[in-house]
Amino acid sequence: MILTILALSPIAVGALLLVLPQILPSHAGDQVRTFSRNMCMGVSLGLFAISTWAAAHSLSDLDWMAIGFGSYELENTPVDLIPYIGVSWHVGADALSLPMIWLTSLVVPISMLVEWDAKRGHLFHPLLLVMEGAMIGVFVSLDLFVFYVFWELTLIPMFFLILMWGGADRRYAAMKFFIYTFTASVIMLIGILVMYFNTGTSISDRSFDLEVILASGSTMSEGLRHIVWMLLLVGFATKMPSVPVHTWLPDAHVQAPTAGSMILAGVMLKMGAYGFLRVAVTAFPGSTVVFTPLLVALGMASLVYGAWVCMGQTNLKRMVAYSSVSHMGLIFLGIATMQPLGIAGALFMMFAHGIISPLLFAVAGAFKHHYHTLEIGSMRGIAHHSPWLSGHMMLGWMASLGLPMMAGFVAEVAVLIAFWMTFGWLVLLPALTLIITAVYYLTSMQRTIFESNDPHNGLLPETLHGEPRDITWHENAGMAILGGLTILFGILPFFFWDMMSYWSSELIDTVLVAAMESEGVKP
Amino acid sequence: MAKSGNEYRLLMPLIPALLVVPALAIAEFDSVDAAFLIVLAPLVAFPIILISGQLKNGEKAWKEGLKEGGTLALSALLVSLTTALWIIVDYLRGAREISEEVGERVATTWGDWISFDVLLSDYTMSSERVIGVGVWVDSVTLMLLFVATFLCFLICWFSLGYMNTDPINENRNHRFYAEFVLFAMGMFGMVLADNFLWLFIFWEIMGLCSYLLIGFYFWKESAAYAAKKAFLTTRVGDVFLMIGLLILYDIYGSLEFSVIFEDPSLNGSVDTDKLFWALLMLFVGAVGKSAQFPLHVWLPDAMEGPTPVSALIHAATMVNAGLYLVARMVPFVDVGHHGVAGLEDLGLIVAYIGGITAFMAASIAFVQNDIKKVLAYSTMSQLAYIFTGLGVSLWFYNHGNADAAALVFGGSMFHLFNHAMAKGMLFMASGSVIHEVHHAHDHLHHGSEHGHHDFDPQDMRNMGGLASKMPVTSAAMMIGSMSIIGIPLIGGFWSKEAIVAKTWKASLDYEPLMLGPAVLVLLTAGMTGFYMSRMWFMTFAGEPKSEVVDHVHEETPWIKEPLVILSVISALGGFGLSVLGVVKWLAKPYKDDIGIQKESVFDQVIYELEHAFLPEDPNLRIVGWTTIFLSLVVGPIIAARVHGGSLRAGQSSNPMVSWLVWISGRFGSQDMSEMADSSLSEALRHRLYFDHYYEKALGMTAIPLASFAAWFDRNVIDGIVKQVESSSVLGSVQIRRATTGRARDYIMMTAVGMISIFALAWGVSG
Amino acid sequence: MIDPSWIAALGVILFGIGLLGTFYHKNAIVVLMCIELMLNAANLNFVAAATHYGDVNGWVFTAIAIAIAAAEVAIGLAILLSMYSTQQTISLDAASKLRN
Repeated sequence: MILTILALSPIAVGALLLVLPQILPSHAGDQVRTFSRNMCMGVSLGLFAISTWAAAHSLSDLDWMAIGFGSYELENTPVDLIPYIGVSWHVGADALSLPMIWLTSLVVPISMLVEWDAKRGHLFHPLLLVMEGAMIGVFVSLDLFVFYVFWELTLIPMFFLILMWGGADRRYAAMKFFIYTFTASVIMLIGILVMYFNTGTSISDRSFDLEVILASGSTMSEGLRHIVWMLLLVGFATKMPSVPVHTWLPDAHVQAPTAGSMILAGVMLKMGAYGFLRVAVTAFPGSTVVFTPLLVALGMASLVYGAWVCMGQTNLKRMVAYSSVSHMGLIFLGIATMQPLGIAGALFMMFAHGIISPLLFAVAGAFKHHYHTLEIGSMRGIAHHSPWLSGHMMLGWMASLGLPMMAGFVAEVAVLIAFWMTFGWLVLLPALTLIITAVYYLTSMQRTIFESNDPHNGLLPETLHGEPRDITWHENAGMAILGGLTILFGILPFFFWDMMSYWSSELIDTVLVAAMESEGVKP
Repeated sequence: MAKSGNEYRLLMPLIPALLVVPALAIAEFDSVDAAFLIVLAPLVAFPIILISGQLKNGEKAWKEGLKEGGTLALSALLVSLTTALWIIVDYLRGAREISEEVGERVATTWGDWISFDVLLSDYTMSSERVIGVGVWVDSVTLMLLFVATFLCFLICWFSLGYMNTDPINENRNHRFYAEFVLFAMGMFGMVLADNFLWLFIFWEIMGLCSYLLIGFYFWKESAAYAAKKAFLTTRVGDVFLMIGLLILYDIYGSLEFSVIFEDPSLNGSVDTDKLFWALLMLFVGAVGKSAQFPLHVWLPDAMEGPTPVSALIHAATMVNAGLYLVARMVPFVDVGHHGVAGLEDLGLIVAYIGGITAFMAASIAFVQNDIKKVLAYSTMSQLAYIFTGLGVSLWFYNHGNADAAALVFGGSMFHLFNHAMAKGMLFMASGSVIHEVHHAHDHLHHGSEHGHHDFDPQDMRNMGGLASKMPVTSAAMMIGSMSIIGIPLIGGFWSKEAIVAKTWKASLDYEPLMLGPAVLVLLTAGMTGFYMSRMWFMTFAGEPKSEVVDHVHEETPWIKEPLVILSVISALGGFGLSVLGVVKWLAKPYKDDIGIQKESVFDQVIYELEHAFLPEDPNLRIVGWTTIFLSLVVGPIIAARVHGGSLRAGQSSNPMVSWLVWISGRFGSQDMSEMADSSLSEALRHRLYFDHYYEKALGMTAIPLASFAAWFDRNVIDGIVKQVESSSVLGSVQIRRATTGRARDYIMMTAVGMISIFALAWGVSG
Repeated sequence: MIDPSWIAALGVILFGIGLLGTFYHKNAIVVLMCIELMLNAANLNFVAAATHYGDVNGWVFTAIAIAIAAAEVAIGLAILLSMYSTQQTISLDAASKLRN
């Protein structure tokens, strides 16, 4: 019931707030518009409270580490939606999805806060709310049909966010974002449908229920399994995104409004990794083991190549976007290690990046907002006139380059330890990439925070009139919360680490070990 | 001056900080369990200072009452210092039964940090592995803990005078103090950590603070560049250090000292090659942090930071982290205690890197005119001494000669102590000089912009004859320099002698390859004598070289006290602690019973003197006296001939300094300008072109590669996507032609479609 | 009783006339009439089949189809009227505004 509320209430409220002002008489409609922003914030804070309640073991008596693999807490009794083809409303959460749910319910209110004074806020904030519901829906649904519906539903609010509040080239970016990811998810849908048709011989036997559909993998021939795994991989890897299907991301990010970027990088990218683990790895452990070299190649390409591309960027937001590509590479590497530590590291990477990257995009957005430019080097010495902004930038950048005592480090070190255990000296490649990461982050800081203390020395753009001002209180608050959490989870990672570690061990133990043994792959 | 009497009232916030430790002791806390306070106090102070500084910036109470956060920082550091002293006293009293005891170490694990399983090669899960949080206390830890807490406190004290009286820092000092305490937290944490992962974590925190503090004057392009360079160069080392940790974890399944050091050879089953690579990687990390060849390029540039930062981070504490890490490698190679045989090469590599860096840095220091740069190169050179000593120690341990190993290990650690004290003080003294010269210059050119920018208060060519103006500073700097040079009986002499002698012993009696480092450290001893004397003479002796000198007064509050305290420690500490047996005490964790503890203090004094000046081995006697000759006679006298000179008539300083200045003028003068124009000194001025070639190499590889990657992504990978897009657009244009917009055509198409479907259905069913 | 195949043949002929009419006439009203013709051809077939099989469903279906056709014609004529009022013609060639 709780998960149903988490997924559906934001969609319902958001849709209502979008539609109601149009159909009510004009003065009532205006009142709804005025309160819309507060209502959105209220609802999303309520959802945050609920998900915190679910996540905090001491508050809720939900023990996320006592449920076996494949069973769920807060599960409902499935309600038939389309019984004819076996679709039902079936939701539940486990240690894989819970951190993501919590993350979603955290990032959305913060992105609302950061863009608290967005233009046309009566449309903006409800769209974010719809977005939140759709993303939570992806994480909670235990029925692949519903999963797919939510998966596609996330595209629509994001499409409008980019199209209506985006930058100069927003039409192209929105279209590219929509068509690119939609194509990929249609390919994924083919995979899901093949699985569905293998769940039974007649239409009455078939079901989209997760448990049933995951079991269908065992009835397929080996070749078909590999093909379906590949189809799923295309869908999920595009969402993550992994090189070479990543080019929608920088365009979408650069054009998207700040809150859109924060949600896109913070949560939407994780849907890809989540789906990959939830569906592809669990249903086809054999193919996952066989194609480990492919995963390593994809992860390595994203990580190393992504970092080099970052170094060649001149646009701050584009650089941050590519750094997301680079960091997502670590997730594939972590999964490919076939070690609980590596997979837990990948999960923690999803979580940590989910906190850090919204901070990065909030900072980049604040630049755009206050300095009207994103070109690295066109604003310098911001430490002088925007000390808060440069403080947040410093913190975010440092967190992202993997500085210890911040959340990203825990994930990085876990993945690397596991990577060494499995692949030995190949670890040099990701490890040396950490230096490249440091190079581009530090260079961009050198040329924005440092090197000047005179706002009128010609380095700042012409469009700026008078003294630039520091960020507004709501931007500051949003960034401070994210920064604080980054440090909190860096020093005390075990709040979520323990359940992730538990889930990874269970995944290996119940699913992957058998496949590794039969494929003859040594851990 | 009169104002300074009022200044010290600001120390009121220190009183509650002083009460913390007694309160905990009364509450029957164990000193070891209270160690968390050492880290926690600065960690808590960091956000408080930073945020309240940001909010209260410019308010009078904040600026004058709290020194923009300075006294808050000082209180936090006092809590750390007193707690550290409490632990040290408890340890020395032998009150260790309170904790889990492993030989001479005290280890306490407070809790789990992350836990996980490992899939073993027989497809079963291991039992749960844990990376915990705890403290590890032995004599090396305690020595470094004392150095770190004590110097942090004193240098913070010094900063109250140095930073807060400089108008350029106004309203920015809270940032300085916040980053200062964060650094202190990193250093204390690294020293106390009980496993390699936490060591690495704090290690990186220090790197961050180093970056932030070097870039304190953020508007200067050189400072921004130097900060980036420092972070990146050490980052290269750090990544290798991290790889070393990965290998270590793979070998031992743990990173805790207590687990690894229990039996590093794993009952003889350990893969020696793998361990060798792990330790080598750790060493690369140490090389980066301690600014050794070839990752040394960042340290001289790091002098862009405020002088207290140079004193603390880039001389006295952070750069010692690399040494500390290498010191922690001893159990791996100690074949007498479950160590792994066959790792002698590691000792050789460490010793060679040390020898090369010592010589190279000393030679570059010859031609530096910036007072802080001389000290920076001196730091590199002295740290390299310690590396050489540790390398020799590792070699001896691995060779099975534990007695010699323990002595040179203790000697190296002792040199670390002596160097930290002396160099921290030297930097503060140089800060005092720079500060006063700067003030004098501002005073002289008050109101006129002329000449403001081309005057460099750090350039020794603008000084000379300062001895009469700054008696305390000149005396302090003299004692510090003597300790660094190794003037007999003072400070560093005792430890440097041990390193040089044992390196020669290794090369003469055992391993011919050790001859390289042995010769290099011997030569460096003489060179140290030259460049340190040169610095002192250029600054304090001779005629004033600019009019500014006449206006210098030693009057800033808060600056003199640390100098005096550290002078005393530098002058007497070496001898005193030697007599108390500190060398053996420092080697204790790895070797229990070495040497002979004499009955009385007098016997001990005689023994130490005899050991230092008249060792039994005739070869070592020659080496010892050569070292003394080079460092005491050759180096200083050449320096005196070139740069020495009497003060202007009628001016004097305190007796010792006056005598030294007078004597420096008695050696005549020599013109070295011909040598100064040679291509060798040109190369030295360019730091042997290392920076140049590093930059060139990066400029020719990394930057074009990055631009290519960006181009490739935009035009090839995204180009393919765009190609697909544009060809599908073209296709749709073709299709669009069929849609004429005329209803008749649509009806026609519908009809044709229907008919085809019927035909199809008919054909299929028929 | 007439052979249902004759009636079906008549339906085909009517349908063909209607189809060709829609192809070759420009006048929207004539096209509308031709569409009616095709509908009625289908109705005729329904009725014939219903009579042949003795199944009442066909008649019911026809009745519904006629009702819907009436509504459809009403809408169609309304569209044509508004088209005439905006464009002063009801030629189908002129009604290509949907493209571009």
